[in-house]
Amino acid sequence: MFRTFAGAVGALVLVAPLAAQEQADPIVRLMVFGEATYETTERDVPDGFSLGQLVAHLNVALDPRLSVFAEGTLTPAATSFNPSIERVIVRYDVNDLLKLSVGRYHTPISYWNTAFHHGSWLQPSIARPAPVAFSTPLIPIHFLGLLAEGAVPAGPVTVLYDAGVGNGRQAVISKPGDAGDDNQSRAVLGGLRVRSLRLHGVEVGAHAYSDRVPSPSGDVDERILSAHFVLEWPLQVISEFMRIHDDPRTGASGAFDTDAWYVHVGYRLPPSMKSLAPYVRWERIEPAAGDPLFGGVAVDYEAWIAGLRWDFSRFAALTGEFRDEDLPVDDGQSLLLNVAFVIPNLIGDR
Amino acid sequence: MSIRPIRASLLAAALLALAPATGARAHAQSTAVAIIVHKDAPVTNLTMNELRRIFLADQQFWGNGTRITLLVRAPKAPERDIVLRRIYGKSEDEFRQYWVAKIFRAEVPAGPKIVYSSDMAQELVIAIPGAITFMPAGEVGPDARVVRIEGKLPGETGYPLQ
Repeated sequence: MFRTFAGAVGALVLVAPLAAQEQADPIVRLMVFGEATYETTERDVPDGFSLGQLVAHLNVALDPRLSVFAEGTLTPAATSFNPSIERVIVRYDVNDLLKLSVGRYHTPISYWNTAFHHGSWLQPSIARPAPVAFSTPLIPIHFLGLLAEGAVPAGPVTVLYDAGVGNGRQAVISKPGDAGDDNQSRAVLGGLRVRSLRLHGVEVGAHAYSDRVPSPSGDVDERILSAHFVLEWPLQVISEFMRIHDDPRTGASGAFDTDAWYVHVGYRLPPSMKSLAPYVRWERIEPAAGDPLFGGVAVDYEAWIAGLRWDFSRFAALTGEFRDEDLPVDDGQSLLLNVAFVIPNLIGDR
Repeated sequence: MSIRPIRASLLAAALLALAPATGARAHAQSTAVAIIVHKDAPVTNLTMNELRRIFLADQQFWGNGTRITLLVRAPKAPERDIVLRRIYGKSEDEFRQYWVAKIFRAEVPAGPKIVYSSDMAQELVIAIPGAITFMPAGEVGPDARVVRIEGKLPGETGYPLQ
């Protein structure tokens, strides 16, 4: 029995490289995003010049159904740059209806979180909306686990779904449990999106997320519901709403509901000035006082933002942004200038 | 009077009568963009919605399970302009950003393969299982497999890609 098994393994070891040689080696595609910002502000936060994240993507199709995607960042800190693995996704496409993957993702609980995330050149403004900002982790930004996705054709629309199970939030709620789950309670998520084929860029969707999150005062049952509407042309409209429902399992404090939403409206000017895109955005966070997960992280917040993006190159943009932020303390106005770029070698195998 | 000149006159008149229609059809044929697929692709006709779904990579597999390989002509070609306008509804910049975003979201492992001539498109679509591409209808060779769009072939009245 053992000899048969060893023989089979040996034959595989000998034959597999020969079979692999008959096919072309996989092509590794690299994409890099970067940015630099100048900020002057009334708020008591660091201003002046700053580098944003430097983001590198590696993308390779190992065979027609199996692909690997990896994303790493270098984030500037006070005394150094912090390297981080942001995403690693190994995906097997059974067909259009079912694509299975395992890894670390941008959590599909927010449109902005998955559509733009670290890709500053992709996003239509300098900063992320506060409800999905890295500094106010109302939602789990990353997700480590298993995901099933698919697309179902339905006449003039495509219906897309995702469903997943993973470690969920940890004691440090911004972390997805890269080395294992703190409380042996898995998070589950699911979502539906409907994308129009005729009205280019129109997408509506809703997502739900459920987890038991450890906290110093005991576990908290968390349910997040979110919905979005997106229109890309002729106006760019991105709007999202999310409700975070936190219910501590111990104590008599009852549940906490935090609501957050934003509406972003931009417009690409007519052909003679098509490199310019002005935009405005309204952001709002209404936190539930006393939520044990957020503590002082999520504060009552409202902001008006106006900006102008100038795509002075095919792969780089200069954006000016005015922000008027209203917080219980340290509110004020800010002015930002940002250059963001992408280095793609990805549009085809040149 | 000989009958031969009368026959010749009738033939000339018939040719003149047909000329405008033939000319219009020839013009439509010359400006139309044909959609070409690999011989094993299980389609003979696509609706515009199906075509958009494929070119937008919302559909990445044919019905027989073969992965679709999208071949797109490099910028500046008139047929690319027609495809960007009629299928994608995007400008050149929006098209580029669309694929950067699609790859950034890990929705596709790669963007379209770029081809630099109709000959190259034709050779690759014949060689790569699951491939689909487009080219001027007048440059389609005898070995290429043209797909009907909304039930129509290039040059027919109502063909949507022209």
